[in-house]
Amino acid sequence: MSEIKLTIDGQEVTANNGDTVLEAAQNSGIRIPTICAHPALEPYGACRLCVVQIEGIRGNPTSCTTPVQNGMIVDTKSEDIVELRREILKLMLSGHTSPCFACSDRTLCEKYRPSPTKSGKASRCTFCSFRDSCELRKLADEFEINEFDLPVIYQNIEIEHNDPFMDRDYNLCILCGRCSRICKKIHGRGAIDFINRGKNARIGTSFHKKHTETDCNFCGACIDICPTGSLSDRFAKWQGAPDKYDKSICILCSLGCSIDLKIKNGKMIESGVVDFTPENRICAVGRFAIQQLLYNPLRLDFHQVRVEDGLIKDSYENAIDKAAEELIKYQGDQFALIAHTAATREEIYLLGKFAKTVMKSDNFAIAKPDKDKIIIEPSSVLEKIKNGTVKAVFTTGNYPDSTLIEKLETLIIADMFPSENEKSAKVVFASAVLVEVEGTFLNAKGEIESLSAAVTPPKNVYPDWKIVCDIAGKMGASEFAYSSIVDIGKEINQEGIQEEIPTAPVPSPINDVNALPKYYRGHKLAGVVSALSIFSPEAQAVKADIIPEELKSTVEEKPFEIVEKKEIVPNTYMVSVYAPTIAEKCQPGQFVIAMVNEKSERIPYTISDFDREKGTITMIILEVGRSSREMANTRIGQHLAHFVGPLGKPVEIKKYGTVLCAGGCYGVGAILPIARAMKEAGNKVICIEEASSHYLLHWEKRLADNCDELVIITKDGSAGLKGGAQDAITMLAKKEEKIDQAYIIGCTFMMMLCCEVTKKLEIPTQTAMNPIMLDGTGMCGACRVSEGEKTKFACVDGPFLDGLQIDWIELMQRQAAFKIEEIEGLPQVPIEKSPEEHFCACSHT
Amino acid sequence: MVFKGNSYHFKGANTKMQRTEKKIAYELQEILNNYEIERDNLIPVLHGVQEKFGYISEESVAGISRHFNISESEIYGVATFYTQFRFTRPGDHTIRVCRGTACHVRGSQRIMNEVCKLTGIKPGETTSDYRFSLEQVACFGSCALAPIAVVNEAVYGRMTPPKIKQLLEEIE
Repeated sequence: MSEIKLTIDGQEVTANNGDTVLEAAQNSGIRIPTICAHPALEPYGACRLCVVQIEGIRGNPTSCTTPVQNGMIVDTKSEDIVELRREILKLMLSGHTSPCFACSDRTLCEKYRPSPTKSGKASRCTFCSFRDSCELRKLADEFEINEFDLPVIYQNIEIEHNDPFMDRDYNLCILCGRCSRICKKIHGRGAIDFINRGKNARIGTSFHKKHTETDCNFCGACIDICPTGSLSDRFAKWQGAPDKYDKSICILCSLGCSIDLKIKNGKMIESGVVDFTPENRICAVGRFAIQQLLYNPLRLDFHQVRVEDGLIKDSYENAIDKAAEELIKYQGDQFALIAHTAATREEIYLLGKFAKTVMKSDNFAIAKPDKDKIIIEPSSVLEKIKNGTVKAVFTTGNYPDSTLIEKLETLIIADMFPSENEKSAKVVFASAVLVEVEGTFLNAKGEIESLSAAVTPPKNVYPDWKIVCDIAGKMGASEFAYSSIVDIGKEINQEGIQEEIPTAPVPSPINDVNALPKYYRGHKLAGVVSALSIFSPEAQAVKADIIPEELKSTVEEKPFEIVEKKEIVPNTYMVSVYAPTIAEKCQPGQFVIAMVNEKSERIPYTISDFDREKGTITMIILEVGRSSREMANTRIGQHLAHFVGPLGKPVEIKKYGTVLCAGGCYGVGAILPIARAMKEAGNKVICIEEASSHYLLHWEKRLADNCDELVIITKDGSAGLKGGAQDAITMLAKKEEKIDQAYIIGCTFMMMLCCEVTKKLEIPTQTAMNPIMLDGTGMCGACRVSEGEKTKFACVDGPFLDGLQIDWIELMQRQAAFKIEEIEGLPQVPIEKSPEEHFCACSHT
Repeated sequence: MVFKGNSYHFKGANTKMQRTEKKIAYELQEILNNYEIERDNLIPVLHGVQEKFGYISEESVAGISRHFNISESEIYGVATFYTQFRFTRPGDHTIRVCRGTACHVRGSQRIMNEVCKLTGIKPGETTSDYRFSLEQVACFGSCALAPIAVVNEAVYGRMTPPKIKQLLEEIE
């Protein structure tokens, strides 16, 4: 390969013939910003961000597609080029749902909201799960883009969350094509591609089919390569940016694929391919299921021992004592051990050694998943259980089946999920599993791969090998005192054991979603990772009818019918419920508590409007978590399980003089009944509606009809004034508007900023408190808020409290108390879109 | 053809466009057989399919995908790039209403409204019994006769709402 000499930014650079100018620059430490270029992909030239100037070449060629030539003189940093790149970025941002760039409160917002809000749709950066990793955002910050001279466009493409594991929001897509190109590179036939043309061009599938109906193998490479939040892993998306990367092996089938782990605070967030090549692709289970197994709500993270006829939680040490005490009674042929194949070599070796040397038994069997069933070999072990020879079993999974369990006197289980067999168990250990375990794995190619304990197991939970070593130690066996996993490996090699090379699954799960691993430790994977059930044959038949369990109302009586429901602006829903008794009594400022179904959380919602004649209550709901998602997914005609109200103290309606009502997000609706009542009471009412951008404004007309003056203010200045509600208040003060009383409803951050201003202006201010609330009647105390020296309950003392005295920082901390649990509690089941409710941007009312 | 009041009623199922699945598969294969398995032939095949069936169906895309070993999404991507391909089955009769400048000035909106009212569909749609498709066209080049409607291949000038109603009623 001949060398080529060229000059980049005045620096003499050598490159290989065939390199691109971009590669030559990168190899010489000169950075050129890129988006569509990726080391795993061929040059494409879609984003135009890597434009440079080359002497003798007309225009501004993209460095990623221009091959180097001898004597080239390249300028990558001229003022013109930087300006050109800034314009290109602005064009991308214009259609990328990013008003946050132009927001003057951004620094403060990110300080008080350290992680993005877990919304249903990314209506702006701070509602986007990819906020902290977004490449576009990093570039925009690098180019210091903080104002828009281009229109801010919300493309209004329907969100796709009807497939297992992945959410797709093409409103954030900048058409770099990295996803479709990597899909084609890895699988030959890409499941996704550019469809349509011009301004309608987007990434999609043939006839907008779901991915389960395309060639998609759910390898997740498209998610991992996407520079924006368009494509995301439904389980991982809100966990934030990883703080550590590690490599491991997926041992859920004999292929033993290498995986890259993304880790945060010792917890695995996501796994992915080690490189974007066809050879190293992984299956849906390796990509999406491991983390869902580890952090499954069903997972055992405590040890249990039997006391009389029940299992109770006990310490690890006591469980070891109890297991040793039981097992010592059954040495010899009375004992059998059943291990599973999805384990490290060290674990299998030690379990075998334990059976042989400590228990002095040859009854060591291995359970292997085979297509849709589990085979335990050798079968003589099962025979011995059946005929009563074996009386005690140690098992590392959900085997043998219950008919055999009945024959046993003693059963010791080490497992990660509860099972029916527990009913007969004397001791149940919780096991550390998969990427939590260090060791080696023999794959179907006969290669020995190594796993590091990349992820921390739950507290006091240990791998199976340590459990047997400790039991052996307790039983007086000295040869089980290993100082490290490496020593066990050495011993295996010294013993010269012939290990059986496992057979590779046919067809391979990396090529066929119907061949995905179905079992782990005898548990059906689809039983614990709900999205996997879509790939099981039984589920195929009913595929068209996936309605999440939470949508099926279990109440027989059907009050509280949803009479109207509409997504009024992205991620914001208006829901009207028929509840005549509440509508009859409710007063401005009060709230209701709703449960969509019997198992929902009780969630308070501010009443945004009520109609005593029709008997309806209207709420404006922002989708920001599990319960509001349930509400967002309701259909007209559905009945809510519970609907309680009116709760809280009404606002005191009287003549103040001039009353200010400021609302943001869900608060826009909530200020309406207050404004209306205040106007009826003879006040001059000024309303402020705050939104991040023009496409989030709603109910302007309703507000305008019920107040004397409506001030519209947007953070990006795309409609009305530019700024936040607090800026609008300042402006009113400058106009020498004397405000006698203010009511502010919105997110905590917005209310805090407003109160800072009203405090200076000495305006009495009432804010609607939104802490975590349980019963809403003053019993539980979860909703306590500090108002000056006093502790108030938002449910019975509020919701309106004196905003000038609220301890906002404490409130924010209390709201974030269950942040991780709230993320883990988000449902993972795909949601079918309901065509009749497709959101329309023109539906302003 | 029956009109009752102002709305259009179905008059039995149309058998002409009802091809059995097998027949469609056979006809598709016939088209595919005319082309070498080369990427360059994708657009000619799409043309061939549209000419034969009047549109590009999901089944056609699947068949083309198997023939060329190109993913369905890629074929759909290519086809949707060009405006001349359509993806819904056209009706037996295509009504095109001109909304160009001259026709607009001469009241083509009223013609369009009348057709929408009579057929119950919007431009770009087909009636559920596949009898009529409605399209909006920018100009036919017959501005002197504005407003224009084209039913199948016949051009009708100086249209009025009663005239277009009568025209549709006469189609059998």
